[in-house]
Amino acid sequence: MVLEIQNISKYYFKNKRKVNVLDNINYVFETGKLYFISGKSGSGKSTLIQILGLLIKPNTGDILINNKKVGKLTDNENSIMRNKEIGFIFQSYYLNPLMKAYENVMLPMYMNKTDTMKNMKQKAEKLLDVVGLSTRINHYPKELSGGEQQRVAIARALANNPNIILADEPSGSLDPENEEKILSILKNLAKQGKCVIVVSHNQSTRKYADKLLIIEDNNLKEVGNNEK
Amino acid sequence: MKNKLFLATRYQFRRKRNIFNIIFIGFAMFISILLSTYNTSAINYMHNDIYDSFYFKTLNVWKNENDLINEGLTLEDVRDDLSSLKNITNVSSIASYRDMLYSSELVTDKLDGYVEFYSANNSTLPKIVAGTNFPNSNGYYMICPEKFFPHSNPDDLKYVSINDKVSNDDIIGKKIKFDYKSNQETTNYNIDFEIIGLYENSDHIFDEDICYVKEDILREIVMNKYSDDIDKENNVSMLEYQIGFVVEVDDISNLDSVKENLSDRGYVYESRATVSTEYFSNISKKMNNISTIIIAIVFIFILVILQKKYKEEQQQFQLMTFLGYRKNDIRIIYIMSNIFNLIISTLGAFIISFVLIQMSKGIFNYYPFLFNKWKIIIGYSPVIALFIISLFATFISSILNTINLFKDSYE
Ligand SMILES: Nc1ncnc2c1ncn2[C@@H]1O[C@H](COP(=O)(O)OP(=O)(O)OP(=O)(O)O)[C@@H](O)[C@H]1O
Ligand SMILES: [Mg+2]
Repeated sequence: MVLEIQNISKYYFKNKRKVNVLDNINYVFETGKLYFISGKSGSGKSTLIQILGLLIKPNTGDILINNKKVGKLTDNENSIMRNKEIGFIFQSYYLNPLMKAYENVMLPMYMNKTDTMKNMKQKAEKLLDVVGLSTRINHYPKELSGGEQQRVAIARALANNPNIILADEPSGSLDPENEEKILSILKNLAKQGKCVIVVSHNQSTRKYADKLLIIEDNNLKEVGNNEK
Repeated sequence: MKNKLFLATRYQFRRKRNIFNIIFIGFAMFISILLSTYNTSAINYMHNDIYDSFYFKTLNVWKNENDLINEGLTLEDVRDDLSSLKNITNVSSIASYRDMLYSSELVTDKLDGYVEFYSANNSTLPKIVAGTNFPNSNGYYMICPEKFFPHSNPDDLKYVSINDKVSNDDIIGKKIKFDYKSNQETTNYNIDFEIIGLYENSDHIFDEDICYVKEDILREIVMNKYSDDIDKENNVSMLEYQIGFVVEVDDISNLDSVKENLSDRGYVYESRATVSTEYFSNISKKMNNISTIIIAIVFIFILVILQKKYKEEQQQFQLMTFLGYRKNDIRIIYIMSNIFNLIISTLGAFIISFVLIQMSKGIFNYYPFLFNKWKIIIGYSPVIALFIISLFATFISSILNTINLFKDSYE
């Protein structure tokens, strides 16, 4: 057990009217599995990912990482938790255009003050190798294809070897071939023992998932299981 | 802290816009320095060369010959009358003799060897920079300019370089022979002048060919020139009447009232050197306005640039929060990168403007006659003003943006 949500509710106010997005949801995400979350546009997928990633606070409920409640953490403790335990992947890759591929991957590592530059670079190169970009280490983002950029972003998410990987439509702007590549990388990460949570509209990638989840009527439901 | 500094600075070098900023600010600095240099130089010029210079405060004054005869005045009466006038400090006939003589010894490729002689005494000499002024003994002494270009047409001197001047390393003590003829060319004369001193001429107008000799000696030369005439004494004194006196006014601001006074008393006068101070102050005003506009443009430019930089980086800062950076870390990185940008752009700008100024100084030195009347005083105040303005712009932009940094959250 690694990531648990208990009685999470989230609502927004729109034009002074309360809009419920998530209503009292519970779930336990485990390591070594790839979760696939789908749902209609506006159903609250990104909202859930942000809550899981400690980027926004739910209105009610608790989040437990490794059985520790994180709801009571300060902003700074939250930051450290994100840095060490969580890796983010987004639809747009948000790579720094001024940084080479390996430098982008190093970005989350600077928070660890004891690591040397040389060490960090070696780690970054290894991670780029994991996502199949060992020949693109010194390239700038604009010199890479969309799929390659997203793989750099995955390597960056792995920088501090987090246990939880959160991906919000990671292949949303990629062609099917690159999509397959990204998802097989994520699948591998799950196999290696990480908890990988992927939001996706695309039904063709369902086959990679260990668990299929859907957000419907402000609720998170398990709808399928590919586990043998 | 080390890592933050690294992140704030390392990648700024890869921002192409930074190079553009440096060039732009450098150019603005250069132009403002140039304007301010012109300004301070003009003010310096007005003070040293106009307000304080003997030439700009002196008038050549004479009285109509017929008036003299009708009124039965002697030359001494006129001198006394002029001396009694308000604001006139010095009356002399010293510069009343002028002549141009030729010496084959002074001829070079570029110079035709003609020297203009003015009569002077020790109190009316310009500042001596080498050698001595006139001794009491009566000898054929002359005092020449330190930059000595014996040439009959000053306009030609524009095409002459500073190296073409008559060498003055060993010129003091040198005797130079001049030849001249009487009016009707019946008699040939020659005269040996010894150069005993050099006067400063970098600040004065068109005196690179003027040497000073004592009044008696120049009078002797003039008399010799009239030696063919029957009534040469009379002619010389007529010449004196016509040339008249040089009067020195106590202050340049009294020049106009003295001129008025002279006209009222039936004198005719001529300014020895004129310059429009209004012209300088008008230009100076314009320069100041342009400088102010440049500084304002640089201010706005820096704000716009920093705003663009912020827009570019905003998403990265958002991302960095996802990657686990603390908000304060990000704020510090942002401010440090702005300060770093300020430092490199002003430093780079300073280097660029320094190079451009050295280049233009080279041009100044290459054409000494276009510029050697000017003491170039580089005005660095716009550099300081631009730096302060840049600092201010950076400060404003950094503060506003760090406040706004985390207002829009991830969608
Ligand atoms: N900051 C916010 N303020 C107000 N309403 C918000 C905010 N963020 C999200 N919402 C609303 O919450 C609902 C869920 O949004 P969310 O982005 O989670 O949807 P989603 O499932 O990710 O949709 P999509 O598939 O289009 O990305 C939407 O109706 C959205 O308008
Ligand atoms: Mg979404």
